[in-house]
Amino acid sequence: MDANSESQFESWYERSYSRIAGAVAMMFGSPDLGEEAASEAFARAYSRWGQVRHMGSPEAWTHRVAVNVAKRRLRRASLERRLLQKNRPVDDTMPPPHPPSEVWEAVDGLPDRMRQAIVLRYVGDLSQADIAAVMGVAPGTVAAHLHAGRERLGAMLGVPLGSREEQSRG
Amino acid sequence: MDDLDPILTDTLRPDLPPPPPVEEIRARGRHIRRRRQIAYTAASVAAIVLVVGTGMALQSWMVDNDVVVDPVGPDTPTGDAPAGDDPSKVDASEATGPEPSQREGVALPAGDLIVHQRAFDIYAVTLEGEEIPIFQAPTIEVSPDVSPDGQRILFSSGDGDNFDLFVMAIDGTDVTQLTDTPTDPEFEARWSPDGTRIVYMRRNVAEERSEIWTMRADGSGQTALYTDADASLVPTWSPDGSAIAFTSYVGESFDVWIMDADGSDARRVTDLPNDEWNSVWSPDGRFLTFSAHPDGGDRDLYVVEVESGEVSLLLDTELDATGPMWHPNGTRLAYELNRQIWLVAVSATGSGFEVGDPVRVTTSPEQHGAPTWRVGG
Repeated sequence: MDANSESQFESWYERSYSRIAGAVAMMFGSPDLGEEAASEAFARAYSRWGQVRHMGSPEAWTHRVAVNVAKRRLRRASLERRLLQKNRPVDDTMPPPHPPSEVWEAVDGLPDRMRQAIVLRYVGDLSQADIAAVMGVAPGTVAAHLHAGRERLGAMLGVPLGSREEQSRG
Repeated sequence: MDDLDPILTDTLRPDLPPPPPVEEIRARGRHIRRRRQIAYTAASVAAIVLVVGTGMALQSWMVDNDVVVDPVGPDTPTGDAPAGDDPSKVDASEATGPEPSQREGVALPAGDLIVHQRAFDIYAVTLEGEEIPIFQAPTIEVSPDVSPDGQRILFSSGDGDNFDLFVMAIDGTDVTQLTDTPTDPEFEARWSPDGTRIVYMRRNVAEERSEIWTMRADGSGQTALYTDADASLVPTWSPDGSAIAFTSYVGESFDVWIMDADGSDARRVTDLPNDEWNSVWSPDGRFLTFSAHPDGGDRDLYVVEVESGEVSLLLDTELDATGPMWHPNGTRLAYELNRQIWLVAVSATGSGFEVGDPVRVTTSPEQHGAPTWRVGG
């Protein structure tokens, strides 16, 4: 890798690492898992930086790798049990940590996919398209999750929702 | 922007961890790059070594060392990433299927065999207990089903996150991918009695729902058959091909359901306390055999007469029994118990069944499951 590429990677890494580690930590309820998954994802991005840097959104790709690394770590132990149960749908994500906050409790009470979308949007600072890439769903599905999640949070927190600028963003 | 956004942004963002020194990440990335190069070399060697029968050690080494050659390429996030954003598609030299996909076939003995999954590979076991590897790969292979003519095996393969359906020759060669749904895993595929169609479970991740789908044997014409429940699993065709039995979650438990082969007229067949699973048809089409635990204890094998809905206990195993599969001649039943494949003789008495003494068929310590019969050969 030439000096310019090395410098480009370093600057992108410094800008993006904390958001990805934080979002994965929130999604899976484990700061350690968030940091480990993010480190592994950035290392994988570095190992093929020549390709990753030309992507439309290197951060979305890395975010998604981090989420999959975290899932795989969690699933590795439970995979055999899940398959023995004949693929009965199991939510093997963990609830987010609970700082003593009304907002956190409201977010924690959201359905899984809605919670993931909210965390990726407000912790990971990702666009709807990037969230769609991370979650592996259509952007329209993300928009629906964000819309419904915000409606629920607004009602639970007693916060009026104003314009829908957010809904069209990303 | 409204009042909610700053609240969410300010409150949800945790004390974000500082990035580790970039040199640590670079060193790790260089290690991954070397490991990837080794993996492809090793995978090529493994295809050769497996043929001479010593591939298990190398495969174990690859697994122990977290060397993964998965269907969508190592380090590739599964999902609907735009093709241009997927590094595995940039480098055409990377793996594109459960490896090894082309190798010399396994010589299987004549006579009845029970094909099954063993430690996430596909094996056969003779009724005398000889275990024969048919397909081994670093990926995860589950849910095999032998075609009615005994010549092909359907199975599900994936990396733990996503699974697609594949078909191969009975000797483990000629692997062909049938489904390619990066976000939705497929499992539990079963041949129609005439071998022309396949029914399977597809997990609709976006809708968080498990659905019953069907397609032609070549993978074309993929069509949803039943999507009305939160979870519908483990479909099997009736012997005459006119109906499909499946397990569905409606209300608060899994029950056995039946629908016409075109997906119409779905109706519940069992409604016992707790869950019922893994229904399979008896060869005469009169009964469905399934795993259940109505008393809340271990899972035993039951039968329900389809027409009357009358349920009776077939085999009390004192451990969890699941995955029953009738021999096509209706005289024996293979099933999974305590990580092993067992066999029991069954004879119809007119009003019910008499069962013999169960015999354990597999002996190796790995997890065995999902038995399916290859008859004759």
